[in-house]
Amino acid sequence: MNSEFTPAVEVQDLRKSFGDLAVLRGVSFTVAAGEVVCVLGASGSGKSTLLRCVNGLTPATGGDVRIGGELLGQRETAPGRREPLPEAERRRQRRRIGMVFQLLNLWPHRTAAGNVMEGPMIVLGMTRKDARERAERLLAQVGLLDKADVYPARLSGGQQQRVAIARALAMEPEIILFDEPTSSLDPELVGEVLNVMQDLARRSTTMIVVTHEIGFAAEAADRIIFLDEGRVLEEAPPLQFLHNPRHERSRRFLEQFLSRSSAFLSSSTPPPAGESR
Amino acid sequence: MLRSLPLLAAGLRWTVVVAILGMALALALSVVLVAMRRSAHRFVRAPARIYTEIILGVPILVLLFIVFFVLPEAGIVIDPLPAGLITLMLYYSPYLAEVIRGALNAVPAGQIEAARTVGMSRFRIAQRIVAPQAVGLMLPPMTGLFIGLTKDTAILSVISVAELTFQAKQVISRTYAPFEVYVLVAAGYWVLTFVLETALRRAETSVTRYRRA
Repeated sequence: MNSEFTPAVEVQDLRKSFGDLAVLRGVSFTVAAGEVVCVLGASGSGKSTLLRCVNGLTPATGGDVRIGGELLGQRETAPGRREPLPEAERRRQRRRIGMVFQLLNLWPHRTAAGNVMEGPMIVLGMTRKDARERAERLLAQVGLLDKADVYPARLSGGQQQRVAIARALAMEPEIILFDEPTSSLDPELVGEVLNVMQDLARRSTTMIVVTHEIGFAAEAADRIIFLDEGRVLEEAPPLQFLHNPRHERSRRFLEQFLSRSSAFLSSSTPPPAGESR
Repeated sequence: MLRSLPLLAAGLRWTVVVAILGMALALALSVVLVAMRRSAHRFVRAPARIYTEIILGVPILVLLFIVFFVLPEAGIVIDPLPAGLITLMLYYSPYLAEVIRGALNAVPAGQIEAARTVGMSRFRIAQRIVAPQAVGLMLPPMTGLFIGLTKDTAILSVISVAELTFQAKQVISRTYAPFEVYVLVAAGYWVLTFVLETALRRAETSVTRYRRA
């Protein structure tokens, strides 16, 4: 397959239910290599579940995810016939997809550098020396080289999340998924993490970012996907979506957000309309 | 009295041997119990749970009598020393298993997911992410259990295992000096448990250094 025309991620009619609760009701979209897609939506709209299905942490109930054209978690034995992939193959697929979580998930018994080195050493079989070099390069990239030998307990939330980004980058994934990476941070620490992510976006890293930071979405995203009740309600370039949402639900969602985070936004955005009601 | 000291010293040595073997056996069975309790199959989990429930409600002395006096009725005759070790193992393994289970569950799921997204195998996650943290969490409660086990080796004296308490009774029957002998014996147990506690506390401090560093 020609990689130029193969999307980095292709999601087709993805469905996920937990018992009777249908969280994803047929989600489809593609992400091109080097593209940054922000996923917005109210809580409970299925954003986190979507990411977890895209990287195979949670098995989907139905539908397909393809990473660089390769079917995730299954293989086609014959046209129309599929079987689940063995665990080792799934692990191989998973490491092509980096993930940064909402909660601070660094391993507390490893230093910042140790967190970044773990994957390259254990999964890629790198020597300690090579892994250390890679870790230092990546920690420098996220502005934390001086914290390389510090344990997570001594890092701020923002610093921990930047280490988590370096840890994901260390596996040289084809795509990185961000699940509300700034939601559990103190407000004054959000900026440093978003800056690192914007830097990644400028370097043409393929990213799917679930976020509530509309300012970030406006500046860094190539496209916004608005998820509502487990479906893609709207898919548009950021400015079009933010200024001129097609659906009533997206408009209300934005109003609520803009009224709360107006300080973060530039003056070009419309005034908050939600407050007048 | 002085001539009895070698006897008491021999008893102390046996107490140490019994305690260490008892800990090793109890730990081994507890790992099996933990594995069973974490199994995906109900029919593997259930026996471990039921066994735990039963042991938690039986005094260790009664358990010892069952192993040593009741099993022979069913044709299973066991020597005093193995009977004592089996009792210590049977009695302490469910408690240890609960401690291990709690420590494993206390490692946040998010850290395990992070390891999975990096592509680490189950074994590597257990070895490199869960175990190093769980050991630090399980050592303090485990210390208490091991101290309890060490002191409970004294009940093996009732089935005449020649450990410290048994030797003490022998010495007293000849010297008629229960006060001196029992004080000495108490001091012996105290020293053993003190050494054990100190060693395990040091181990805990060393494996949890990352929390303070």
